[in-house]
Amino acid sequence: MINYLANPNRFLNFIKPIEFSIGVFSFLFIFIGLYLSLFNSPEDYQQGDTVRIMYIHVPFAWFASFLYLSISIASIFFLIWRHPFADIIARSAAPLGLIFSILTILTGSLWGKPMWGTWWVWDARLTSMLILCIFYFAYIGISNAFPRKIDGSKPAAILAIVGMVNLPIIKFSVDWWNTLHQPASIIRFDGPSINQEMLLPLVIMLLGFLFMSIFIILINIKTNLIYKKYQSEILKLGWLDV
Amino acid sequence: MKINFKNILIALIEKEFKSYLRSINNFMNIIVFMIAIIILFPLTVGPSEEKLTLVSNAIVWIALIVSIIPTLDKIYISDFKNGWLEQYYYSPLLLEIIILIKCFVFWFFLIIPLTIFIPIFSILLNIPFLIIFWNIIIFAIGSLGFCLIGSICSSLTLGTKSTNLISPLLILPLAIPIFIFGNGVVEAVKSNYDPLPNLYLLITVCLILLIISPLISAYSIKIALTK
Repeated sequence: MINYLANPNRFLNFIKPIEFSIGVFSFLFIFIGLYLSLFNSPEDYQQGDTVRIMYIHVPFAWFASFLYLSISIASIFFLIWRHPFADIIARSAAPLGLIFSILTILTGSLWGKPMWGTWWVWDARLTSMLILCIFYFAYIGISNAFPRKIDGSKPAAILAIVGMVNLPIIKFSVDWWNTLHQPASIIRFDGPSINQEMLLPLVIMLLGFLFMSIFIILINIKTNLIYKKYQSEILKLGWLDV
Repeated sequence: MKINFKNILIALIEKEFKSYLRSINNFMNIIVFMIAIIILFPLTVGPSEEKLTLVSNAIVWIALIVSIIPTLDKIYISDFKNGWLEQYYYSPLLLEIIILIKCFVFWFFLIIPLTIFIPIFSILLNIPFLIIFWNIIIFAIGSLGFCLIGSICSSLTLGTKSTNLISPLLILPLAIPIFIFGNGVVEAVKSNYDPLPNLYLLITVCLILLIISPLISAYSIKIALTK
């Protein structure tokens, strides 16, 4: 299956019929999830209405780290099997992950101001998220820093794999250190500790974000493929400066 | 001269040492930058002693680190430009070992001499002697890890146009464990706890880097050479 889809043309043919429906799904899920979370979910007994920030903060944070994980896995594929398509996937996911990590920090600080009384603390969870953001910046920077864009792929892939160290630190920072950020409440050994009525809109939002990130990454992949075709056409025409 | 491992090693160290000796400007650059930061801090924070004692240790550290970073990402750049790296690549010695030697020489001849400035700056900022002693130890150990991180970053950015822009972004996140454990040692000394656990963690980080960094650097240098 992966081998079959690794060919760009077959991949484009494969996603053509399902691409539009993925976009519709993401819109629907996010719409329903926003409605449920804003109007049809209970207030928190301590935090009141501000708890509703969680319904976008958690998906942003999850997908910021999940996209980094997928970038590093794609980079491992790229370095071992040298398949250029893995590199295109990694490059396409990076800008979205950067935006997600910035939005995680922004929504988190908007939530932190009323709850903790500050926009920002140098807490383990917050700092490791900031470092993830810096890694995204470095990844995008190094993959575009070379005169020929293709030369940046391998250094960027190495950087993505090195930056993987940060992911377990983000996940377990709330357990290892005594942080102001609350501990994990969904992925735990003893099942989720969150209220059922709050869990439903959150899960719907997470599904919506999943479809949305797939949709945007597909668009990015198509753009990058077109750019690559354009480059090879220019090479065929004999214009040296690419 | 017979060609064996020992002779190659000595020749390599001699060559590196001479190249550092001839580019003494780099070293002077670091020192001038450091002095500028040390002078600027009391002027901007205000000369009152209570405020300064709170941040004095941090000032010394910031001065050292910020002034080292611009030279860190240039470990390989001159060798890359004049073709030495290719010679290293084709030499019978493993590229990893050569990188390790280069990092050690860089650390020994460019960074270790900076430790004589720590007591001078610390006395200027009224830091107690015990902490000065620990600072020197932490700096000597932590800067080796710092050089190894710099080796990763400078090999990754070989051949780029804008090295100055990317390398701080690469160096800082990787160097955070060194800062945390180094600060842990100083905090423990200040509050009369045992500083050794944090020191051991610092040494652990540097040892892990000692294993990983030459591998990654050699791989990315190979990539840079085959472009």
